[in-house]
Amino acid sequence: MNKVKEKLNVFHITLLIFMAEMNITLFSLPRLIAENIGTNGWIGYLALSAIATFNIFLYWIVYRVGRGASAFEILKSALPKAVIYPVYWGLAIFWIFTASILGKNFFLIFQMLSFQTTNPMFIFLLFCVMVFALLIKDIYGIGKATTVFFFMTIWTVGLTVYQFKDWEIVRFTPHLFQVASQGHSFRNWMEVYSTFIGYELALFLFPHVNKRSKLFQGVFIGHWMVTLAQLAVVLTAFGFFSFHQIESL
Amino acid sequence: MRSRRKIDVISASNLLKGKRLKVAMHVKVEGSLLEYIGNLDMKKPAERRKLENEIRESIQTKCRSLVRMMQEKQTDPFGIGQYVRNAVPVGVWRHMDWKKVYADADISVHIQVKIKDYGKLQH
Repeated sequence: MNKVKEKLNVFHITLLIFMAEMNITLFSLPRLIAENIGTNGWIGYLALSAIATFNIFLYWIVYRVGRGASAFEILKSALPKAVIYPVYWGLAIFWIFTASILGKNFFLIFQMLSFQTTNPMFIFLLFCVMVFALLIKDIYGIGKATTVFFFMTIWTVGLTVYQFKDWEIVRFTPHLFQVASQGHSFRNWMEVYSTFIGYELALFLFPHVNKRSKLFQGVFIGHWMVTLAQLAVVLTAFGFFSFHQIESL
Repeated sequence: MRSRRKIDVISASNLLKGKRLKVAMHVKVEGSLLEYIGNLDMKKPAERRKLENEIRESIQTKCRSLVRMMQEKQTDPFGIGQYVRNAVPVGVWRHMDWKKVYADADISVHIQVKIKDYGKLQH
């Protein structure tokens, strides 16, 4: 087969980052924010998004300084092998665990909504088949699949419009970051921040892009799109439910 | 028929000093008259005002007795608590015995009625 080395387009990068960041935490995000940040937590959420933006900016510097070299090459040239392999192992295991936990949460929700009597192992098997089918493709194929999934799911954000009738600004309260039941700590804010996990994918896209793909324009736009979509959900939840209802979502 | 409700917490600062809570509820009722068999002539604005007044009074009495009943039962279906919570500092709200404050509150109801139109048929 004649293999053309395809490069990712900014559009696909945007959607890749969007779909990577838009994960299962969306379902519990309003509760996470209410518990860990408190009243008007959406402001804290925006602040955390700004921090994530700064992190992406740091990646951008790595990209600029490394002149598009892949993260693996940069690591290889900077650290001895004895250090790198444990790091790779650690990262690989960390991401496998993260993906497994996210996947497990997904099929718990699937089971609750539509497959109450199905064996969870069977859903897990389907999940594995899907992941396998994705992973045997290159990043370009994954990008195309992601585009399809994006258009299959993005319209659900528009459904929030239907809640406006029962939406009241008074439920927001004028108090800032109060009555957070978990209290404020670095750990608790990090728990909300974990919803942004996914943008680190940008680090591995370096070899798959060229100057024309405008990698970081896509990453930034994807990240801000996720922020907006999740903000819409959070604002809807905060105006629709009372604060204590959100805490038990 | 359309109605809007607005709740004003009048005496948040007095409440902090241990005085009674004072709340004003403004209800705006707006609607079209579908049928009227009374003696007033709906074509005249003045007489329309008169009917609006009668409706207002009747709604007001009903609302007042409803509010009093809710206060006796110590339940707050109007969501007044939300407005009080937003008007006082967080600590005060948390340590407030809201049910008692609510049952003891001075809640006034102000109704505003407007007949938008009265139809075409006259007898």
